[in-house]
Amino acid sequence: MPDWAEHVRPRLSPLRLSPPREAEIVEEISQHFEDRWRELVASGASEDEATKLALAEFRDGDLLARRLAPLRQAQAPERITPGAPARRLFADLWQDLRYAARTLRKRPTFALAAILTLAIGIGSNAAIFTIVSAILLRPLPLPHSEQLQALYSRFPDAPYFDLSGPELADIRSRVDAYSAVAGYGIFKRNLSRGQGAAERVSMMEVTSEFFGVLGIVPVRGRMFTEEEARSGACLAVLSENASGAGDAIGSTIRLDDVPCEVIGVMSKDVALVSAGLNPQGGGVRADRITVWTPLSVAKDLLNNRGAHLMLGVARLRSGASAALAEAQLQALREYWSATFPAHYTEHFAVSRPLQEDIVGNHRDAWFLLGGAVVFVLLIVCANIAALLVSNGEARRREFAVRHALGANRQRLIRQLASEAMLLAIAAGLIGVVLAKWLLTGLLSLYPQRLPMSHAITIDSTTVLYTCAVVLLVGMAVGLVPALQAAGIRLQDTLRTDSRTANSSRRAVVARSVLVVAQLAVSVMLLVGALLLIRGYERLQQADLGLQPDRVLTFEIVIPRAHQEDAAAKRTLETIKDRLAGLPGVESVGGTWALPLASAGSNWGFSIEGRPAPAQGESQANATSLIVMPGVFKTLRIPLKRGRLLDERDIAERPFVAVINETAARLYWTDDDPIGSTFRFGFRPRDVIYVVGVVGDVRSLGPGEPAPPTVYLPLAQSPALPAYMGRFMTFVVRTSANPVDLATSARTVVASVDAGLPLVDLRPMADVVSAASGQPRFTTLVMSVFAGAAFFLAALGLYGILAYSVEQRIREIGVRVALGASRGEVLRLVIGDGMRLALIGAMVGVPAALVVTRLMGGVLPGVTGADPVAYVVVVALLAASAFVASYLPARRATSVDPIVALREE
Amino acid sequence: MTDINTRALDRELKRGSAELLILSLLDARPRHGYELSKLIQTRSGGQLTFHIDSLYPLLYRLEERGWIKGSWIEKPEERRRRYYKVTAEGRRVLAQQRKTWAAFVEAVRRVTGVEHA
Repeated sequence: MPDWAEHVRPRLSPLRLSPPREAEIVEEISQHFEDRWRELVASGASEDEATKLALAEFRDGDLLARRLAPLRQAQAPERITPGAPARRLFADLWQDLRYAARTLRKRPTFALAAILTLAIGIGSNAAIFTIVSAILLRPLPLPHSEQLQALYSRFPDAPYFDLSGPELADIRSRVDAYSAVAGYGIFKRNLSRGQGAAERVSMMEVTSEFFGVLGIVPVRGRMFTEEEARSGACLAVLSENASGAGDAIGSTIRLDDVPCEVIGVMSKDVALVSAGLNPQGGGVRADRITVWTPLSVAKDLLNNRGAHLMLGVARLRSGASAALAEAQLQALREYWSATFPAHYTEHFAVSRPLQEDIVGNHRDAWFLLGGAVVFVLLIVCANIAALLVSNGEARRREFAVRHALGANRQRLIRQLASEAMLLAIAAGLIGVVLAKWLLTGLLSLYPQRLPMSHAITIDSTTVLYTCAVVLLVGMAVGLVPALQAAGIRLQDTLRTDSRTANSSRRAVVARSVLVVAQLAVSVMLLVGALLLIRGYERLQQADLGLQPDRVLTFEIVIPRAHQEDAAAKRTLETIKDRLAGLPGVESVGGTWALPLASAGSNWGFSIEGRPAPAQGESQANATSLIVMPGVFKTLRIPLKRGRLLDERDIAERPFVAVINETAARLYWTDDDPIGSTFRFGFRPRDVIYVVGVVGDVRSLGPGEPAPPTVYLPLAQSPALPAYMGRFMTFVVRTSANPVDLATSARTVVASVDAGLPLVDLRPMADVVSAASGQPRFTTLVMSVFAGAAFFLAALGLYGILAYSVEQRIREIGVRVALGASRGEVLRLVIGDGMRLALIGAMVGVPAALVVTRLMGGVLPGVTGADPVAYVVVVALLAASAFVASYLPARRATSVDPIVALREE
Repeated sequence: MTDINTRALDRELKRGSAELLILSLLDARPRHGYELSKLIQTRSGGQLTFHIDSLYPLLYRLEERGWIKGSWIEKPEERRRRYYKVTAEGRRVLAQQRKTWAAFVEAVRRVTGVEHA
């Protein structure tokens, strides 16, 4: 029996059938012939005859092919010629990408290293971008948030301070660019319901306009009216995420033991946004607000122009500009100066956009880190581009062969670009995952709670941004190798020896440029990081004016409804005495506002025997702290003159105060403050004697100057206004680890009054450390980025030198054969490396000078002109350049001239 | 005779009646290509012949249209063969074509005036 397939197959050949389909058809038709043939043979035909008759079924030679041609299965895709001239944009692109994937799969180590490196660059960019976009670029989640402005009093030493009641009222009535103005204060209270245990929460006391100004309404229930706010009744609006908020309306909660009726429930977003308010003001800094109640300030205090006790927020009338409001505020300032010349000598009302207010003090740090990651990405790109360049160099023969087989130059370049793009896409995918981790890490390391942090997630904006970055990275990485490929004289490559110096020169030049760029950028980053480190060091070395070691602190708050004034004072004294009796305790004190944790309140005062301050002269005011005398000894705040407060200063004795050196310098200038007297604006009847001057404490932060401060003994303090509560932060100095004292401190407080929670129990050292948390964070992250960048740049330098040594093996061999010494060969290679490093430094240092000039705001004490940082960085660069060149140089010296010359 | 038949058949192919033949034969049960060609020849009393270069392109076309479905079936002691069966879509088309064909034949009968005995 004949082989039928031999007869069938040629008839199918004009069709572009896919091989499996062709095989099927051949099999099926062959079978037909076989059946026919067997039948013919069975009916008596000879085999030859049968064969002839069967084959007669094929009539015209190409009829089968013609009939099959219209079928879809005959339209199999054309075979791919890698690098064939482009025809269809998208189909070819897909082909390029698939080809690139296959090419990369052949070099898995290279591909993996490149993808991971790029992923780190892309991922860190995506993470930082997510934060920057969420907190800095997006508007606040409030209706028409661009109309919202924060209002403050500005004092020379406190740019964003509280307003007084009359000031807020003046703004309300005289600045008609504002459609509404509200006042608020943030406090902490013990929140309890029924018989349940109290919980310490942040709450806001607000004027009735507050929610209207922000443009928000409760999700359930209602807000309080102006009449209700004035009536003094405690009405509460609860946050949605407060426990039991679900059925709270109509129920009664207790705030510091004061019963309040819940009338509304506010969405939890509002709770978070409102917590962002007051970022500059001292006092309470809250994570989230749990309760809002009407402002409960005594009328006389509310009408006291000198009592700065609330912050303001205002909404611009639609159509009114911030500039108009500013002009009207300016007019108000002039009105104030004219009407109350004695009062308005120095401070005035200021406004700024609420968004700026909430995110402003985070901006510099994140923009700095954003800049750093962009530079890291640039270095990563340069690194990978350099890798691709040497790869391209190694693949010259491949390209030349493909060119000979019909590939054209554009298509080859496109394929190289596709490889780069594919790397970038893969890196982008990994990068997004990486960004998620990085984001979690960064946010947990970040010392403060970021405003709007609930909005910080990897969302479509991040993904879109990452796509854009991937595209840019793909183009950046692919550009250089593609340009390089464009320059190759493909036909020559096949003819010439691939190891000639000429063939690799372009690659070396391209890579040298890339390495210099990397070195320059990493110099910039390193200088930046080093400046931050040095600034941070200076902060750490700054004399805080106190010694935090071996001191335990905690706060006790005694609500008014819990105990009367006198009893509360006695409770605090008892706790102090019992703490002092604990074994290992060296001294005990207390203060209203713990330095570096809380700013305390600012009170205006007038010094006796002085004329009222003239216009333009500052009214004396100082951070006023009610303390328990042991505080100076416990925190080691040194006495400079006079005496400290002590047990003799009781209510029946003359009122006394101790001031700090800044207050003495500012307000007593040349006079001796000891023995002089002053009165507080809100306590005009009490004459207070200055008995001592103590050292300054940088209570606002290690980088901030010490504010003028007045210390008053608790025993002589008057009844406090209701809105303040009665609180005291105890400081306990021990002879051992302060943490060990925590349990006994709890026991002591419980033995005095079991109903008082200890708030913020922690060693003073933690408070100090937290105060420089922000610069520490910035410095740490920046150093990590700079370190990574520098490492990559050094790696790049090593890469190019190693490569160039490989390319020059023969040249080096000739030199050695002609008598070059080991030292000369070493110098040759190391000289190359050092030359590149030098150029990198020459480009990087001036760039760093420019860039770091912008960094001044991030850390106090950081200036671009810190020669030490530059010297260190250049030395570091030289050292790593030497190491990076030494290894390839050693390889060069080990070249055996005989072997080198025999190669090829 | 073959030539004339072939040309006639080609016209029929164009008109679609060849499709009707194949679908009708497959409607009863799945069959392979050779069986189909034999059946057409014997049932038409030798009047209709499908050559390889007409039959298989037609089968493949019907398959691409989704009217029939071919699959390789292996039977013990035999080489595997490709059997075709009518799909649901094919059955729908067959019903339609039968109706059209019957109407056509009836019309031709009336016009040509072949009377009943």
